[in-house]
Amino acid sequence: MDIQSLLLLILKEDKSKEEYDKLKSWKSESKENLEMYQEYIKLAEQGVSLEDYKEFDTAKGYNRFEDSRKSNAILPKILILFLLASIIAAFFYFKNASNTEEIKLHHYAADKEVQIIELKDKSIVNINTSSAITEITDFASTREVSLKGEAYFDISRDVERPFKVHLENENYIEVLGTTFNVINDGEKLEIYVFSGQVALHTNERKIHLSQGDRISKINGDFVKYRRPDDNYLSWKNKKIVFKEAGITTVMEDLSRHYDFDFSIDKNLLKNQNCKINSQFENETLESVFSELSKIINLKYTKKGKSYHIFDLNC
Amino acid sequence: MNNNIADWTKKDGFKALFFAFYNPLCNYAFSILKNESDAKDVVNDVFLKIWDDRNKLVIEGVKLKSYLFKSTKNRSLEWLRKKSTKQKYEEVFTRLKEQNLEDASLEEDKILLKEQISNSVRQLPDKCKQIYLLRTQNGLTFAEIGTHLNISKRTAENQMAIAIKKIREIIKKNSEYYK
Repeated sequence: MDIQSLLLLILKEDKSKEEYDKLKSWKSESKENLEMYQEYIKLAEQGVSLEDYKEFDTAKGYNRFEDSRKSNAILPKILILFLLASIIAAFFYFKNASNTEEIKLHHYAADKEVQIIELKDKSIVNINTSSAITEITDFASTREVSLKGEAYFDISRDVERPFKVHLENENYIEVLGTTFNVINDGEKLEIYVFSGQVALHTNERKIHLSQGDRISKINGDFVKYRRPDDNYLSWKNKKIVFKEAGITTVMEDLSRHYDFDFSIDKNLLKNQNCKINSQFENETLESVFSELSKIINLKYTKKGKSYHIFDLNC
Repeated sequence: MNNNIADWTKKDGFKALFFAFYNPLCNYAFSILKNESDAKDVVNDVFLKIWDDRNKLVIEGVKLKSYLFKSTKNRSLEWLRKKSTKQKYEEVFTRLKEQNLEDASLEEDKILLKEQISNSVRQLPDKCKQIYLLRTQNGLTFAEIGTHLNISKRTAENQMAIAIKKIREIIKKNSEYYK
């Protein structure tokens, strides 16, 4: 079997019995085959998440390393210069500080509970836990805030004053009047548009998003796609709905809502006949699990904040 | 990266070492510190220290890969202890202490695998790259990818196979750096 057809066989989502057998016998032909198979599986699966993997500028890092390596030798001289510079800077800072007029800019933070706030322009923002937004203009000519964490924006329409949300690395979102959800927590950057138009400005380009569009930053690139998700806003609506959902979807949605890790036994992933229909409103994770145990005979073990699902049937 | 990392005590070899490990170590430090600029500071210090100690390290015969990760971890913790709250430091410290040695080397391998995949994905042609990411990162099926990119399911599968083949080739080519 040549590599391309082997890979196509591995990738095929609905393999027939013969195809399974063909793959199995190829795998068992030699140790090399088996190793190659395992390497391919690793690359084809969804197991290796790049979402939280960042790209740091290595060339810049190296230049800095070279500079600091050389300057280690002349450090004392630099220290004196630095001290002098600080004194001068401090002098100017205090001199100017007394002249600047103070503008009151609000900072809204949600710690343990979701906060709903109304901005000066009547826009409504739901701020998820451990998240915060900060006004960076007074909203007189432009409306600009910065976001850390996750928030859902319902922006009141104002063509004269675009609304901007500033994100990491000088990326920002620009809208006139729409609803959208943003995650910008330092590890993940993701936008989901629920109504209207949104423009994402990155250092290189401007990307237009319309209703139903999602975009996430993966491996340094922005990838735009569409994939409806009933429970995306469960953190805001405090409600999780499952319609004909498989166990993977159920666990993904729950883990996002309740913030825990999970793994599912490989054997359960192969035949996902169990479809779950249910709805949970304002419930604790324990009671959700106890209901799942009843409806699909879910069996699991729990270790700290992570759950392992090892059996279910319906 | 033509220079051999085996010669890392020389200037060129050290540069090769730096280019292979800077990004994964920054990611490792970031996973502890949760701050990009702190992570970069820590990793810069780690490389400076290793450069200064290079002759001593050779005599002691340290295993470079795990030494790099271990130094990054220790220095990150030290950084937290100095610059962060006591509560935060203890939280991270307990979390890291729970990992035994085996877990630590698994964590290193995981980061290096991510580095290699991420690095090779960047070298793929645009269409291939997009399909690979949509499939493995966004979890779309090939049918969904087809609809999304206006190509047939078959083409999506073919492109994905090409992507995987290329990624493995690139990883194989670079693997000696991460032994």
